[in-house]
Amino acid sequence: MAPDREAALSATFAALADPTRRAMLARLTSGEHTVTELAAPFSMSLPAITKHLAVLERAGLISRRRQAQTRPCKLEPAPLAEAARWLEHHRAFWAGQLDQLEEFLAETAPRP
Amino acid sequence: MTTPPVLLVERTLVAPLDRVYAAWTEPAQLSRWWGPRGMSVAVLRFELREGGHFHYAMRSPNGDEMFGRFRFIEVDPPTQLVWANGFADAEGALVPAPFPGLEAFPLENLNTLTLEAAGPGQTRLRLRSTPLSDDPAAHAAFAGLLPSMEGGFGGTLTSLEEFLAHGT
Repeated sequence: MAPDREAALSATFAALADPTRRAMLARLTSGEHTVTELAAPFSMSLPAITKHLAVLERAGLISRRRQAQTRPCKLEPAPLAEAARWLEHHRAFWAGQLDQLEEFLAETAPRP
Repeated sequence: MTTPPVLLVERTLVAPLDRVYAAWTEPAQLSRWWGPRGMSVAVLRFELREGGHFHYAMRSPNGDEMFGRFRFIEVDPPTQLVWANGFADAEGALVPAPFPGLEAFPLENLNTLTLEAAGPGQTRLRLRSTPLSDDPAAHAAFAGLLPSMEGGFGGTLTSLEEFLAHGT
């Protein structure tokens, strides 16, 4: 594995290790949100929320617009693409394997 | 790699537990259904024990050949099997997956298969699959997660939503 790609993946996964940050990202799949909007579902201080957002921003998972005063956050899906590809590929792989297992079990079932 | 993606798959099979376990652990049975559809699987090596290998050749009708291997980690009949799988060469050494987009992931995936009797003549199958890190600390963390495997993903979720909701 190329070291830079491995480091990038590690940063992505470390950022995703926290449930609050995953919930924030999940919220951002519906579009841009301000910090206040993102903070609303959590009983957490604004500095704590800001810290989570900084981790996500450093991992390249979100970006924040400079021009607007509220600096809304936007999901940047590219770092997730590899992990999503892994899931997609392996979900299809296992669905196929389990289909073949089912067929094998049906073919070899003892006759009643 | 701190928290890799985790795939959970569940299925109820119409066969008793012992038959399902045998389909996974007897080479003559496993080779009849494992591998890509349309390719035949030849068993080159099969050692069902902790640290043992299942090395196999996958051959297409037009003569193409690929190799794969399982490295068994836990063999606990008839309810659990833990193994790492990956693509291999003819000698059984790991090689990268021949699929674009997966180059950044480790060569092996860690799989945990759990079987449970589910009513007369039926078996509940749960499978957990995740890239297997080379980092021993991460490996220990994965192992700690294995017994807590619960639930599964809805088939309708997109990969991204699924990853965000369950990527622990």
